[in-house]
Amino acid sequence: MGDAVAVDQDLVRRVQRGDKTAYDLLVRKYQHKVIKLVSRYVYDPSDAHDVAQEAFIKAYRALPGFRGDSAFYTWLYRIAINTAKNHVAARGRAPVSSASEFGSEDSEVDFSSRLSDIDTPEALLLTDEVRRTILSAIDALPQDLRTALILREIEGMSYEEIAKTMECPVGTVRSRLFRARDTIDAELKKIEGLT
Amino acid sequence: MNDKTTQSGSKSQPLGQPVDRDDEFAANMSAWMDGELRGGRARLVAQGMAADAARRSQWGRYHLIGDVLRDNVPASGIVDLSAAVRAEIDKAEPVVRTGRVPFANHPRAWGLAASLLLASVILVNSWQRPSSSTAAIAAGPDAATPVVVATAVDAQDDLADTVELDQYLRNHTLAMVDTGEPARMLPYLSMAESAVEPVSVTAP
Repeated sequence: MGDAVAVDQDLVRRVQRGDKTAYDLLVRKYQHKVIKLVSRYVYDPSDAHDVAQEAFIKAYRALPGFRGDSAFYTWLYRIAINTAKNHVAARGRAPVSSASEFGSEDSEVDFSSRLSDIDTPEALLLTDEVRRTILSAIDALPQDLRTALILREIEGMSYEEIAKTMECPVGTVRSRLFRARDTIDAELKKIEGLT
Repeated sequence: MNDKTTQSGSKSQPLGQPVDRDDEFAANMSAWMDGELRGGRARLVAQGMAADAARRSQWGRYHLIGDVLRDNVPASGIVDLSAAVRAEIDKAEPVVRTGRVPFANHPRAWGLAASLLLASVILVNSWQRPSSSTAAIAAGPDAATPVVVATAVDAQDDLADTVELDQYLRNHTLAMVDTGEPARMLPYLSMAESAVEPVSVTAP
């Protein structure tokens, strides 16, 4: 897989040098993953967003002490879990699932159905629209672009691995991935309310 | 297929048309987010994003595509926390990490350096100009191991003794060189020569 960890390290170093926009990029990259993680502990979607936001702020304040011994997301993951547990303790409620604490962050347990009845209709509408737009755009992509995107985003392959799989130069993989993202992004930009 | 030609593994463009700088930047950003762009071009992307909110939004949407494909979108809905987080961290002081202060810039560094220099000067002086109570080191005529010879004479005698000792060491070392022994004392002789003029004194 490409060295995406190195990108995080680069961004972290930039934040540590005082570049707040670099932290903005880290938030945009991990916000959905962190909200989904926190949602395993915090029932209310609005609370989950607040807890995720608090976790990001705590992580920012703790960044001067982050030495990069672990990957940034692993470190952020611990902060998010602790923040969620503290939130639950403060509310005097039991967490949704104490087992999830010991499981993988990509646990197969699906909380979607449980949470769906308490989600705000607007948020769900936007989420559905975004999901449909992205999946439709992917379906409409030429086969080589779609394959490159799936191998990268779902299989987590590096450009070199994708090049071998698709029997094409690495530069072509790079071009295909950009064109795939650019095409989908053009559709996403049409959605009102999505930044 | 709406294929654009690839140039230098970077941005694609139709032949004969100028490169779209925004697209070129986005192509580099796409590679950078995958960890496939390094060096100067990676730095340019990072700097470009720091200066452009629209590009940071584009970065967010590119990641959103991956989040949807991996089913990482929370059931509670897609949101953007970045503005709220930024507002909070703007209230606080920047978290600039206190890097290591270079030793030369450390306030105590100059004091330490001065102390070491002073100690060195004292040591060198005491070695070059032994006082009447200083112990001079000489090598025994029949042994490779140096022996300590204590002296208690006045300053003039000290100087004569030193010159005599230097000459003795020279003769001894040259004799060792002639016999194939390693010339271990030569460095010391060179130092002694720079301090005093050798005189011809017969070795004891």
